[in-house]
Amino acid sequence: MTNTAKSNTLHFGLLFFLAIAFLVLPEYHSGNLARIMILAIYAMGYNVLFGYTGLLSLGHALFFSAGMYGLGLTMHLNGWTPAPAFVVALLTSTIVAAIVGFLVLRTTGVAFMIVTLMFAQAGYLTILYFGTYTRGDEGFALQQATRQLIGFDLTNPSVRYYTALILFSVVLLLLAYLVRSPFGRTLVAIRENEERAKMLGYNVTAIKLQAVILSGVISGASGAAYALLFGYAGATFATVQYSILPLLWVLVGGAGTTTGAFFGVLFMTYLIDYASGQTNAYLIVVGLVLVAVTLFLPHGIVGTLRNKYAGWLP
Amino acid sequence: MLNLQNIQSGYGAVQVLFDLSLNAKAGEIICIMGRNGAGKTTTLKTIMGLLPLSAGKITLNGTDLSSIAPHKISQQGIAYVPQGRRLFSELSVAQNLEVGLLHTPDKAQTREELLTLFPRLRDRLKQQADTLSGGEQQMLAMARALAIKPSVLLLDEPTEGLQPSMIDLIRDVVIKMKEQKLAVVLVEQRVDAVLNIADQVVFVENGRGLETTDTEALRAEPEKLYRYLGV
Repeated sequence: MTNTAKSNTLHFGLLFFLAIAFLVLPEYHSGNLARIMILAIYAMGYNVLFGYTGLLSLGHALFFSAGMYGLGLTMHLNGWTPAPAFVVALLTSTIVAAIVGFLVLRTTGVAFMIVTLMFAQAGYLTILYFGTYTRGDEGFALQQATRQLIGFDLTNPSVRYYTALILFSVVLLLLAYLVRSPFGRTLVAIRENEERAKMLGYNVTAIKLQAVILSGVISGASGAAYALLFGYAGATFATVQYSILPLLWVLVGGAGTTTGAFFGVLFMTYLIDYASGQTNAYLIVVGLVLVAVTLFLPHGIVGTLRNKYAGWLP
Repeated sequence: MLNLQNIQSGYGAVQVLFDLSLNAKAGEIICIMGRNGAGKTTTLKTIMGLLPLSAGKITLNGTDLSSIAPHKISQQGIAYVPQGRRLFSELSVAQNLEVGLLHTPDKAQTREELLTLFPRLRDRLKQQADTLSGGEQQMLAMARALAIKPSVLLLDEPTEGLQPSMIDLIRDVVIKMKEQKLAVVLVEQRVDAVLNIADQVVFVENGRGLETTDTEALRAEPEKLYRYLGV
């Protein structure tokens, strides 16, 4: 079996497993899994920039919240239906990512991290400033009656789960295709040696801008889907915590791997879920486990599997 | 073809090149020689636009390269193989070549030509670049640079740290490039290698071009090697 065939088997196998998981899992866990898939989309978007292009952003909550508020406000204030509101969310996150990317790509390394963080903080403060519309920290709920898509009630657990699965599938397969495409190879080349990529005739700044925009749009799609499927948009999702989380998910799952983002979110969600059920000091437990993961799986779950046992893992 | 006129360059406030000129013609190998820190690598980096040109002029077939972006300099037809190879280490040999070939119109044919030039790479296509031997890495670095079908090839110490058989292979490829009418600018410390293949030698010291001489004349006056290089 070729590496491409193995890779396709892995991706479609994972999607098949997720498709039947809803049928066998209790409602609590299938609800968790729907949320995990949406957040995994966010992590995959982050992974495009961090894992494949080598740019460590601390401001991705800006893109996530751009999508979330792009959809949420058009539905909440203008009464738009989900489909056009979702398009608005994608356009909003595209524009925000293009503007931010254009400005932040003048910096590198630590300066890049700081500037992205500052942009995200500016976005968070903007949401608070326009509290009349955004309801600030309190946020706003999207009414059940408005969350209908081509006759399907998105508040229904099964519809919500399979909508999340469809979105997750689209992004996962897009990412799997992307990393094998010339564009994906170029991103890795830039991550590995930016100067060398320039010497081969690549306009590195333009390609990095494309990566920021792609990463921002995927993150925005995740934010929009989160608001749509779980019916809430709030400033919490624009805080620095939501910029750090995708970094943690990707590091735990495996940076620069297609499925690492999903397994990172899955692992972290259930780690917190389990630890918080055992003790009030669950963050200490989570911290210790993360230290252990860093020590024993330095390339993340999927990254370490790839390095040690299965070099074909995409 | 590639012409450097009294160029000056350096790293930030530290000036390294003070006055260097050279003229590389098609089908000619020109070697830059000098002691460590003389400015040899700085010269190649300045040609590629990786270091700013503070004075002087660099032209390729009359086109001024002094103020254009590094990726556009490469697109003008100058390929650069830096010291230490600098491969995309997590990509396979095939993927490294693929990245090099993305801007080349006739990809399949060029890829075949490169694998014919470096047959050893054909057996290593699926191997990750950082698992290759030093000589194989050098071949891949050269193949990837040649993938853009350049008219000028800049090589920075291509034989550094290689075993003799590999050095012979690299030397043969450089000679083939000369036969294909590429202008080759070579930075090399190994005097024997230079005397065997170079047409001209530019001696550099403290960022200044001291003398340009053809190899024939250098063979006749070997004391110049001692004077400029201490060997």
